[in-house]
Amino acid sequence: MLALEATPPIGAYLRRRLYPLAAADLDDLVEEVLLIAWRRFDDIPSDAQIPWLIGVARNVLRNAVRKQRRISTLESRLRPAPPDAAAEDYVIADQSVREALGSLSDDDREILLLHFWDGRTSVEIGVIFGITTNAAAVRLSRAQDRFRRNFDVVAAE
Amino acid sequence: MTSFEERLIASDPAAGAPYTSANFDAMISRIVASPYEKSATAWRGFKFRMAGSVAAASLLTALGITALNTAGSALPILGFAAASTHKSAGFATQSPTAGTFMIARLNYQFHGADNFPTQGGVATSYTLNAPSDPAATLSDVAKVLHVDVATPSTTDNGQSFTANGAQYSGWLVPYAGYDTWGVNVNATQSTSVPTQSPDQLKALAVSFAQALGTFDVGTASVDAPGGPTGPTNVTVPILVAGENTGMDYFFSFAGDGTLLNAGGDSFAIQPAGDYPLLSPADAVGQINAQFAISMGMLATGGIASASSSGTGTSSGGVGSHPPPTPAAGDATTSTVAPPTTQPSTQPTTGPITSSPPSGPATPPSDAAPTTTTTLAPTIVDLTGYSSQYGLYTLTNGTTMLLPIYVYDGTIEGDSSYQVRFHVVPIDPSYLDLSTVQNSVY
Repeated sequence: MLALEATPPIGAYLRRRLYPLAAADLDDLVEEVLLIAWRRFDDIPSDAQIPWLIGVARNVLRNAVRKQRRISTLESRLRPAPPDAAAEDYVIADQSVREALGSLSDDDREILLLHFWDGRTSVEIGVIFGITTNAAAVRLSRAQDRFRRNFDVVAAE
Repeated sequence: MTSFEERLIASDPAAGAPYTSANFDAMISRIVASPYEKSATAWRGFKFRMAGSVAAASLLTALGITALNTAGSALPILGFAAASTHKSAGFATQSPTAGTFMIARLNYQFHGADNFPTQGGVATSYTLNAPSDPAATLSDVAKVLHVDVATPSTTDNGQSFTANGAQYSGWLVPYAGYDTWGVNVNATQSTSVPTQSPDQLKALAVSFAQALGTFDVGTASVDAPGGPTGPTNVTVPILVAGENTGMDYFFSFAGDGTLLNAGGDSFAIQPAGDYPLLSPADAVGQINAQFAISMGMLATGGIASASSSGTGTSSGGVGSHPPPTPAAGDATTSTVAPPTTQPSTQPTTGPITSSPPSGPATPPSDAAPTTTTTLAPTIVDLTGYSSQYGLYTLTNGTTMLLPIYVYDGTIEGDSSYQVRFHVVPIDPSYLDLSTVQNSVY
């Protein structure tokens, strides 16, 4: 039940943030998330299974990207370092949105996208980040304000 | 919704294309075969969560082992409690259409079974009995641990017991066949100067474990996740007939040796019979049929992961005697029968009859429309096996300690993908798997 319910949102979450990994890595990442869920089944909060799994997915993705970057570094030691861009920079076609997001901190951007892309509530964001619902709501609101201001500036240019 | 929000949502690169796994069934087959953390973490967490409202007191019931004369007699059939509590049922199952079920049988094919011993044996199985007086049990635990907790009381008609002393509290929850208890220090322990070495704390834990019951204990493990000034945790495994049981006592100490937390179960064991075992090579052929019970997850209440305490001694061994009867079974997965309802000529309890049941197998009845499918095989390269005991809940409500083989392996083509299977290697003639289903989607 959990795996079937969780696979689509986990897969979507990872796909949105997959860069610089390859599309072929997506299934492996999803499997790794579910594998961790299986091994820690008793730790999953029954009232917040998907947010808990998204929290796992964040860590799995971070580790995979770190590993990929280490490999890339080894492979191209003598080449110029690639730009350290966020995944959104490569997948968002809307330039204003992309630039406005790019001006946010990593956490602000993640909270905002968790809400608007992944459809997560403040309660769920709190679980994912390990913070209180109130703190999550405040941070979401602030991220939203910052994005709006940046977006207005970028859109006006 | 404002424009920026709409444009942000419209920028979602995953919108309109829901993710689906390229091969969900194969993925689930690999995942559910991988070893899971026996949730000591969850169990201890439960204990510690209970700690705030607790206080203990009691008397460790010394039931000991009552020898049963099973020699020369036939054995009761072991029927397993419904597999609905199996972890995979919560992990990967779903009714795709209301009112219908699709039973997806996990399908593993194993390489390497021929590297394992082909000789079977016999092993004693045990019934677990909970102490008759839970409050007294909790008091006795506290006494053994040299902590002062108040007299236990229950506010839910005996479903749980708590006791709150000045410095320590305790709790106990009775389950079928065993009582689970915890003792916890009340005050938040400030960092203490370590005056006891890890070895000293380990020795202290072992002495507690030995005083809590008369089971043999295995090699204790020590960890100090908080560093040298943090608590030191000691886990003391419980052995029966020299075999691991998956049960243990847990103790957490401050650096000066102050007991911070302890947990375990209280029960006594009683021999239920010496059952003939399949050989490690042959028992591989039972993995698919037993998958739902082989994970050791049938027992409710977390028993499969719980630490344990108790009294009594044990006898018998896994595979330590020559088989009194030829071992049955087939090592090839191709002949593994699906779970069946086998009209037994023997009761699962009561008088012991003289021969295993026989007769045609009939499929389980199910009111809901059911579709059965067998998943594509997942190939597993077996790399090793070991024997131990595992806890199972039977259809008659008893909890039993049964011999199990634990097989380790890897998914073919990916040696880094570790998998593990548990099998009750008792001759299949003595097992009723009618309530066991591999998986229900």
